[in-house]
Amino acid sequence: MVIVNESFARRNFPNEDPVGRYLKMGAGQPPLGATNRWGQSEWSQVVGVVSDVKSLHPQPEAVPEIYVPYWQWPMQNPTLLLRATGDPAAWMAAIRREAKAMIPNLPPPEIQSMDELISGTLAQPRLQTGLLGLFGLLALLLAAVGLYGVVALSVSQRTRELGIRIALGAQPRHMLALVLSQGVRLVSLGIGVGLLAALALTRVMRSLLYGVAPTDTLTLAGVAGLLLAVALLACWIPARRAARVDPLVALRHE
Amino acid sequence: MIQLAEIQKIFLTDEVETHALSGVSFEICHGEYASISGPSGCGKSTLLAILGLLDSPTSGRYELRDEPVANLNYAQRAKVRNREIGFIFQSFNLIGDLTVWENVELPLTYRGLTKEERRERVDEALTKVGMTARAKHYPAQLSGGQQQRVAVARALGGRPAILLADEPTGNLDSKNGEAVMALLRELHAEGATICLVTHDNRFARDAQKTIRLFDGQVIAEEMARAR
Repeated sequence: MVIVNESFARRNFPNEDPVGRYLKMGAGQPPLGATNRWGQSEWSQVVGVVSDVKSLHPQPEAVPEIYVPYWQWPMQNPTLLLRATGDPAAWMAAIRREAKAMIPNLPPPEIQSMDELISGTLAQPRLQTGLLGLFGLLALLLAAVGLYGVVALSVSQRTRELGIRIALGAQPRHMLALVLSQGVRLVSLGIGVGLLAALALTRVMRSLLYGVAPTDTLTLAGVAGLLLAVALLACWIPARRAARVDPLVALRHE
Repeated sequence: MIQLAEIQKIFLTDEVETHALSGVSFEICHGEYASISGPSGCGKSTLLAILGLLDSPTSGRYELRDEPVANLNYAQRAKVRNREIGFIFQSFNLIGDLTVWENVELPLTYRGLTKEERRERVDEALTKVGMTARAKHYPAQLSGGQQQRVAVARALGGRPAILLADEPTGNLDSKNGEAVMALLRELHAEGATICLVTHDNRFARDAQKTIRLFDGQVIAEEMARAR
């Protein structure tokens, strides 16, 4: 007999109660009631359905699972889950003692608290996420420095034009708007291309994301907003310089 | 219209004082055509920069339309320049990436006029200088004389209190130079107030009032006899 989780029931017994039905793990379809070489029944009867839990890895979606009694399918490395009240460390000695009492020749079990287990499970994704975040931050920094360079060069090359505009009555706010809009135009183009690429790569992105869809509007808007804010910051310094150009000096500039 | 009293401009370089202007005083009335002339280095450009609020005097009093403007801040000076002063530069100073129409419209965009008002003023200014047919051209597609006419249109578009012309014929051949000066005479005849800076006595004589500078001082101020 076995217990299945809700995901399993939904997938294999849609619109019907799985309790009382039979299932077989592995290949082949022997007749109902057939036994294996150890005399055990090839077919297992579903005796219950339990809620989904993330027992294998922290995927956003639960996966179909079958719970089999240990003695029905003894495993080399079974995992026993215990719910403890108070400090789990205080239960270690008792767990070892009871395990030895139940199976005397069992090697000493490796005991971990759930926090340690989850932390261990998450270590690799956390490292990957950290590295990805670091690279992302570096890319953002490089983009900001690059944009600053482009806009600063443009301001320098347009000194005479800026001088003409100021002589004709452009106020500092007009010059700020002129330079910032140049940067924003470049970044908007980049954000547009980036969004299209992100949407085109949703299939690849999906396997790298946890708890968020690759087309999540809020995330995409947030990232676009962050990029825009960083771009404005990068353009601010050359824009301020443009807003304070001395028209007399600028008009002499060739 | 314009009153200057005891204007001084001193440049400090390496602790050396250079007196570019020393006690310059004169007046330009509404509708008057004045010229400022003098040899190279006499302070003409410095005086024009002060008149055009591109620079501030070290001391003295400058009133434009009876308002003291010598000590306005950067943004205030820009606003007064935009509304009250029309510049005509020796090297035209048109923006190469903008069409003729856009160049003439440029100062108006800093004034908060509606699109319709801007269109009306630009069309009027281009008609006045005879450049309507070239409105969609870029400055590089025009001759020097045509570029200067566009610069005049740009100065006129804002309907300024005064036109400041800094050697407007300096980069033109004699024929185009004469055409631009004829345009200025025509504008003056229609009521424009003009201040012309030139080292060419022929053009200086066009003005009703001639102010001669030497070593940063006004050495002569003459009113021409009615022509």
